[in-house]
Amino acid sequence: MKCLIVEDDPTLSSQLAAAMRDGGFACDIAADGTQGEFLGTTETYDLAILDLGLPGLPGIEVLTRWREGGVTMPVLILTARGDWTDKVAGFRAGADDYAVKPFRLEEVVIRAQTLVRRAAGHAQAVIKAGPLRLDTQLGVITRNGLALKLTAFETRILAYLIHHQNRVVSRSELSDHLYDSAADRDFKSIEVVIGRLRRKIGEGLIETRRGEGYVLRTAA
Amino acid sequence: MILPRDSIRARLIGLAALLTGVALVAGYLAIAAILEDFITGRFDAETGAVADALIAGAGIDADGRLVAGPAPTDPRFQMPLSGWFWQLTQDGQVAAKSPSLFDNVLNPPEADFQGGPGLGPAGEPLRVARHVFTLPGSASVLAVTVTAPRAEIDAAMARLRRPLAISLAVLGLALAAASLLQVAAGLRSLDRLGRDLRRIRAGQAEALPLPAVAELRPVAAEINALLEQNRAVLARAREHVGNLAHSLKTPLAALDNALPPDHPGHALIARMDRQIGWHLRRARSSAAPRLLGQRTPAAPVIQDILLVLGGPIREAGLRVDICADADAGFAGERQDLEEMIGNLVENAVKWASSAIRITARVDGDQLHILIEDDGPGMSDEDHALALTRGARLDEAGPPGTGLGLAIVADLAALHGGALMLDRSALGGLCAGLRLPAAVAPTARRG
Repeated sequence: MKCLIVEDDPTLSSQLAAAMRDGGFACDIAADGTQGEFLGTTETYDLAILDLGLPGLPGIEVLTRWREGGVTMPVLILTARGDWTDKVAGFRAGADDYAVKPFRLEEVVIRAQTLVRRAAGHAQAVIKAGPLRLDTQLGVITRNGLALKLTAFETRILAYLIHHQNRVVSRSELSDHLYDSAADRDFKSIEVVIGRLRRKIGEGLIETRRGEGYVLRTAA
Repeated sequence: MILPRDSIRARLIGLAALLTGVALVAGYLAIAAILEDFITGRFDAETGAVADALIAGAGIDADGRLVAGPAPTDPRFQMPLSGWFWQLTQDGQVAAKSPSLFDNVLNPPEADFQGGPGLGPAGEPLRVARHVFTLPGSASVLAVTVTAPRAEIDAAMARLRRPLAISLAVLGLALAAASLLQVAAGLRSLDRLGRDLRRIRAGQAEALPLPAVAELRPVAAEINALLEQNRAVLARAREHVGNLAHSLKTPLAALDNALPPDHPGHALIARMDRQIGWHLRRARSSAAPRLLGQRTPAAPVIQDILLVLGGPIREAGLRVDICADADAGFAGERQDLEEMIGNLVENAVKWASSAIRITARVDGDQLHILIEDDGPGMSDEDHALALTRGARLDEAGPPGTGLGLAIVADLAALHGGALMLDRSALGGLCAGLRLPAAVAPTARRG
């Protein structure tokens, strides 16, 4: 999962980014509205965390432009005033959830995970995929009830595949949602990790479609 | 209609009545004096003519005594003590006199005059004409005196005074009616200005229409400018408040998350957050009720709040029934109504087990908004406690324990309304807002 954080306070944005990475997200940070709008429209994200009080372009304006430009990712807005006018304005512009400053980081991460899960069409907090279960809030993946021992990167790949199970996910799509924009993208290492995952979760679940990508097959 | 003494209408009408009254009385006195002069003039002409006839008829006999010519034929000179008298004297001695004098004589003053006051034999007032003359062939001083009764002049005057007074009274009434009309017409624009101002207060209009009369246009323009300035100042204050909140709360959030989980600083941060929130809300909304010309329809605000709370409502599987009159409007700012409804609906969503009901209706000049849930509700003591905590909102208290209700009660009170907590027919809490209503634009003309 990849998320965009648009927040002008460097301390808060790095705290958010750290908490989101712990929650299984790759993060890009934009420090003002203009940069945020640019990243949101040009990069692919699973979620955006958008502060409403931004220098440059106000948060509401950023969100409005995203939605007008056809950007559909779930957006969680951060408001300092905490009054309903801000929330109403945010939701009218197309926000999906809000958090009022000061907030607990864990709360924002859980809300972010819920938004991503709902956006992928899963109503429950625990997503089933054949013998696999992804607890989106704890970030834990189990196989037949037993927790799998996975690295953070493995968890990210498998969680993305579980969110989009039974659909072909191309390597570039996968890398878009795994790495933040600054990281070196490496298809080779994805292939290596997929191989490791197959051994951990059992053969036959992740299929490779030559020239297309991967698919987590759970339906008959 | 009883007018207060300090009203413009009372002053204009009073002044008009005073001036018209003085003018009418003066006119009456002047006209009466002219008429009296005219009538006495007529009597004086009559007595003068008789005196001339007597002088013309008078002669001196061989003994040098004055002899009267033919007596005036007017029968009034025959009637005893009629007040119509004539008398001829020679050197002060009566030579001839009218039969109406009987055995009395007239004692006119010595001077020669045409028309003057005098007294008759019985002391009755008379109008006197007296001429002193001489005749050829005699050295004596001759005098003729003719009188008319003053009472007849007075009676003639009395006959004239009555119609004169009535005509002037009718004229006075017509003038009074005219001045009333004038005052009403002159003040109609002022009344309209007052009505337009009341409509602004009631939230039916945002600015005054330009009056048709030139004198009131600068007043209306000034009032409009004031209203506009009021709005601008409030908007600027809001912006400052928002910026202040942002600049304080963002580092507060960073600080909160930088502290280890069991650090005592968290409690301090929570308290600072509450205090900032309380003071900012206070600064923002205490200005709002003074802002005139606001009308916020309730139904769209309810829809917006449900849009924000859509996620939690869907997740909890709650049914929301809305029953809002189309013309239910709040005479105040949208932000404040959003804050009140938002907090109450959020509270209902938190506690409801399956259903929420939102009702908005206008009753006279009051808007009633009820937000009910089928949750566990509160005890009567808790109802009172939740509302009284508003007085201590800036002090410490565990978060999420009715703080929202106290905020709402505080806001409602600022608008001259109230928040009432009761048991709902649904089983849970019924939060009732009573707020000043704004009349819907369509109902204005009625």
